Amino acid sequence: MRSRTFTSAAFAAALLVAGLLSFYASPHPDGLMFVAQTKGFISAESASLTQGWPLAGYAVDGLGDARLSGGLAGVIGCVTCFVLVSLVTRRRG
Amino acid sequence: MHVPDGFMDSPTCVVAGGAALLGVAHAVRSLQAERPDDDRVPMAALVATFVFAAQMINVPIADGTSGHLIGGAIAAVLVGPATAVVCLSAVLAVQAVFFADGGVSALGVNVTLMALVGVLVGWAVFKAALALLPRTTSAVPVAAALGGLLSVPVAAIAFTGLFAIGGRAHVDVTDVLLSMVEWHSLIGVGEAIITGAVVAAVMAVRPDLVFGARGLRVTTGVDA
Repeated sequence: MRSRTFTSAAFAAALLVAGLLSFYASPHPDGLMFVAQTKGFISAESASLTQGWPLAGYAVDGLGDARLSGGLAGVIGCVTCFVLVSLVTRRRG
Repeated sequence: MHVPDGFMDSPTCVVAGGAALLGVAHAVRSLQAERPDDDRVPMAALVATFVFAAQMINVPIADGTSGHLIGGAIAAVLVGPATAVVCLSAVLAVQAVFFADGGVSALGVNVTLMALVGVLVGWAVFKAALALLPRTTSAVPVAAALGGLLSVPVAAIAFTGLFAIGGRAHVDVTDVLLSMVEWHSLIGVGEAIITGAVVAAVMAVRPDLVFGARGLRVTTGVDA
């Protein structure tokens, strides 16, 4: 497979997962939060410093439609991760 | 396994933050050694993007619990352990800062558990499995899946260790340990399946891009 094809396909797959498939993710607590609930330490949780920020909880502030809001948040996250890691791992010198 | 703010006391967050910083700094210095000869494919950035996307998908397990990929083994096998530490740490930072997923003061804890422990255990198990399996590329997805399988419960044990030292709740630690290992062994099965499938897919189309397959005899794939 050509390099450009591979790159496009891999990035498109990630966008598909984060932008569309994520809507169908299970809303149940993950393993850690479930254990925290059942073993009685969930109350130790405090709100994150970034809880009030516009993308908190994988939802875009002001977008009422859950599918659109979550999908857009996922796409923004994908692009951010791609750009950030590209910058950190770019060839130096 | 994103630890929220409040679970761990300040000293534990500071110490874990220090360990995370040292680990990531060392990983950044080691990036060059893992860089592929052909870097027309931005593998590290693609791996981080995929891990971010995959972590949005919580799969129901049982009893109202869910789990999602951590991605330490996938990343380590595809881009090398140091690059994987950088990828996972970047994803965790983006999640904490932009999406309030995982605490900000707990970021060092999360980097330590998922980026350092998750990647290093995934990579160590992968290398050990590869040494036992036939030295061919078809062993790569199997060894990667085993890395994924074990990395999750070991990260869960590491969480419990930190919680025993600096948890801000008075609970029976043995009880927490057993429960964490039980659920995360199940989540590890999911991690193994996704890890094996993704690594097998990349091996099928571009085995030359898989860091963990360097130096192995090619038995799969066509246009390397």
